[in-house]
Amino acid sequence: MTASARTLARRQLTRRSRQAALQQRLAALSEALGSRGGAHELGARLDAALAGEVWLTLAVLGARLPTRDEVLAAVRTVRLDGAAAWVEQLLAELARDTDPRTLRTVEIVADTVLVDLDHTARASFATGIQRVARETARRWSDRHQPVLISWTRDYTALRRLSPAEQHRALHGGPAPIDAAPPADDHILVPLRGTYLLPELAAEIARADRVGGLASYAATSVALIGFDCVPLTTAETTGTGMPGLFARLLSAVAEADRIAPISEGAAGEYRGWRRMLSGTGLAGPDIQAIELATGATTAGDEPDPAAARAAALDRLAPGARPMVLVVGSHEPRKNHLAVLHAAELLWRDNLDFALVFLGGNAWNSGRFERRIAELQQQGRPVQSVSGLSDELLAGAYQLARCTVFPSLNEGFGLPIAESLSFGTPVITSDFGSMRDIAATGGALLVDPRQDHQIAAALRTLLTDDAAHAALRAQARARPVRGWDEYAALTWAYLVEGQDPGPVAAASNGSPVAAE
Amino acid sequence: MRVTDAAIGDPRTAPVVRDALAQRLGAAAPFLMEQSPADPDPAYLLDALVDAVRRGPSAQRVWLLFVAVTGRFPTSDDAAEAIRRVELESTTDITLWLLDVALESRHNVVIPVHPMRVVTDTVLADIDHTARYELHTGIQQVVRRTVPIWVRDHDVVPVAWSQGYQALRALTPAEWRRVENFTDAVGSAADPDPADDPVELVVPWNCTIALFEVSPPGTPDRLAALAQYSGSELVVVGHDCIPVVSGDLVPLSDHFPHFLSAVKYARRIAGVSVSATAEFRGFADTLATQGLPAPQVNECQLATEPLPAGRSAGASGPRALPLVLSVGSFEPRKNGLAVLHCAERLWRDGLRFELRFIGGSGWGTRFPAELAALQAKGRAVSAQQGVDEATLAQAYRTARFTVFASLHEGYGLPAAESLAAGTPVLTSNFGSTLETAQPGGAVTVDPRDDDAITEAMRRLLTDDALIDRLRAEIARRPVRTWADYARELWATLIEPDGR
Repeated sequence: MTASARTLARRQLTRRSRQAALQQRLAALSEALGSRGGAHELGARLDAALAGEVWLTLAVLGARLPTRDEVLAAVRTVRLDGAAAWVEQLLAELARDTDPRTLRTVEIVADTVLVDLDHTARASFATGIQRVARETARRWSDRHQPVLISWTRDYTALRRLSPAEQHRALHGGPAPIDAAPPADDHILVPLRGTYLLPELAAEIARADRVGGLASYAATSVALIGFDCVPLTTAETTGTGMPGLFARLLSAVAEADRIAPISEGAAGEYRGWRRMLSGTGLAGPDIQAIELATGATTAGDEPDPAAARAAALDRLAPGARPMVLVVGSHEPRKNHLAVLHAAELLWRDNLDFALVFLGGNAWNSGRFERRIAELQQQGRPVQSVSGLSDELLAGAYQLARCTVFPSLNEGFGLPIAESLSFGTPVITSDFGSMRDIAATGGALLVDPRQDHQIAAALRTLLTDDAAHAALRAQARARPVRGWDEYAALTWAYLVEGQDPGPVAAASNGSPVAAE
Repeated sequence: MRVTDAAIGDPRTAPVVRDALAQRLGAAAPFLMEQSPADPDPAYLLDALVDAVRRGPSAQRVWLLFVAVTGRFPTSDDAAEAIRRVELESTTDITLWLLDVALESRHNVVIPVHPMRVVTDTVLADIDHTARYELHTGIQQVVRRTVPIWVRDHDVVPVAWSQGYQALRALTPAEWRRVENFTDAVGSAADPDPADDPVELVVPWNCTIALFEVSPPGTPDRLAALAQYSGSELVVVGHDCIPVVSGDLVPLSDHFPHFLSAVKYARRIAGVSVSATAEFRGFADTLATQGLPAPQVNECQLATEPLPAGRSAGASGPRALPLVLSVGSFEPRKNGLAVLHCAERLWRDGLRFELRFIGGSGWGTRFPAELAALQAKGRAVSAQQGVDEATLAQAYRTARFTVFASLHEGYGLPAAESLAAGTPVLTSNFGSTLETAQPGGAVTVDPRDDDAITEAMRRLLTDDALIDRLRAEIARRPVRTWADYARELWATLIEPDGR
């Protein structure tokens, strides 16, 4: 065979493959719509079509989820020229289209719950969001067997997770070796059912397609809401994030339900929903379901004694009481205020070691300079990055108290972690931080008042009775487990059941610092 | 003389910088020292001022000291650091740090050589964009029609931002003319860098700063610091929150969310419509989560005076076809594609009319493409850009009705302008456009429902009695003047307790 003959053969093969794939998609669509036969019957079936059926037709025949604009344009063509002409035009365009995406086959998944774990399946590291997605999805998966999904590489269509991806999404760990590359050639299109998003969809193409799904598909859209920091506290987020986040929010303006991870976060989502009034959209239902704070998976918690020993070895606070600050050094975490409060106390001859656990982050230069100055002056302060779970668990045990005076949190995980080790916390007197502290073990301060932080720190360092009382409160604190959280979120997001009051039973009250 | 990075190291630079510093320290001294300084020498004065602030520290005094030494309003981080340093460090160390900040060139900024004036217990109106540019869309119209009335009736200092957007300054005479006597000079040159001569900085002390516009990039954080530390308060004219609410209808940008970082420290916000007010109230509702008091948000609806007619570009003789007019920038939010679609359905049904779009700059490619496609089919449709106010006024008067089926508006000036010109409007059935429609003269529809828009346009084109009834309703609409608006805005933002 000559080279040109080979090219021709390949082209014909591809063309045949494309035609076969399109026939498969057409058959799937006809079945879903209860239409018999080919394009002409399909056109007749769609003549009185609602936007939802136009969405489905575009998704299945085009093998990618359409955006809102694409659905609108198609609906207008149907209205002007009739559905038969539109379908004919669409099929003709697809027959000419040599984009590899036209080789995709489509599986319509009807009346099913799809759980989108795109990031969680890719990432080996575990941010707070991925930890929530992983712990929750694993329990959903065991109990309800939803379809676990990801996106094609171009973020235009949904696909099943491969077994290796599924393992990683639910159990974490490094990328499996010899994993088959995820196949983009067989995609899923939901029909009715629910699309569940327990992570952040931070890609524009993905968000725009979730928007089309929420606006036009017969599928419910429901998500876990982590926070609206890029909207409400843009000064503390990196370049590009605030604008991107606005785009993501607009995608879920027509979602059905959002479950924010705390009452504080729910306050932000409800404010955003009120802001929608100028668009004529009602916005989703919003119900806070406070995050679990219990141990994640049986067996993956560090051994307490070993953790303590590791922390003693690594942090070496010596005889000094240790004050612990957990979290990256981005400005929102307010670590400069902690350094100032500590310096005021050191000048007053209080002797304690200050330990920061967490990496440098966006705009942490001022923190790095200031901590270097204090170290140069001989203050017992250190910043440790690249921490392990074991070191963290040990540090919480060693610490006299932790300080977490953040300016805005969807959920202040270090507060809950510290309290779970019986270690008192100084934290902010508002939002999710106050919510978590509501069951005891914490001193609440205005984080914008350095002197309040210093006063609370002085109390915990010098007043043994107050310290012991908070320690007892922390130990007696009820803990919400992941099983409960997963059950509540499924019941609300999938079945629409009101989660009821979010706060766990209170058996202690937060103490305001003077 | 303007001193740039290139001039640092030039021996002639030092005296200019030192003289400006001396002037600013002298201007700040009465607010920071109990007795007038013994020696006007800047070196002595600097030391004396830092020492005075150190011995009687307050956030407000540190803020003013920072401005006097550096010639800039501090960012939030700079202000917090200055306050902490004043608490911990010696006079010498604080002085050295302030001078270091003043002269730092890491951001490629100009060395400040501006003199400054401290103004007390007065109102500053930040109108930077309107003062610098010829643009005359919604926000600029509000500024040009309101701020001159405020300046006439009250003690108000109009201000813009200094070069590099680091401090508030007085307007140049040319800039104030552009606000007060704006003459619709379409396309004439803008003046983004008004003067090489140092313009006087205007430094507030116990003042109210009224933000009339979306503050320029780089300034919101300085305004947030001002609101938190300087002893002056921020108040805001709330036009809309479109960029963060309808993120799918605008180009990606961080600008507006960053503006909200200043708005969240505002004491009072005056929404220009019921929906703008609801948007800012929604934003205010989010602030409890970060422990901030919510600004007081009240509605102060814009005025609806007819556009000045001017010398009409062309007489409006009898028209061959009834004119349907649609005014607004050419962008997806304005829903022009829906209007084109509905018009095409009516043309196909045999109705005869002309559809004309008049708008400013826009973005997106689908609208121009659809428009061109319809023109190619011979439909009577056109789009005009950059028309002057007189031509626009003429078009409003000539039209049988206007269509303004926007998906999201803060106010929706074209609906109000149409009614003020006596022409019925077909507009959206929620938010500010519904509010504009309610006193009469309008038909409202769901802008996401093409069938509804088509049927409403059909009735407006074919039902003369409907047009007559709407015109009669318009005649009975109450007139709200810009003087009314300016007075109510003052009462809402500046004297809420009727001070």
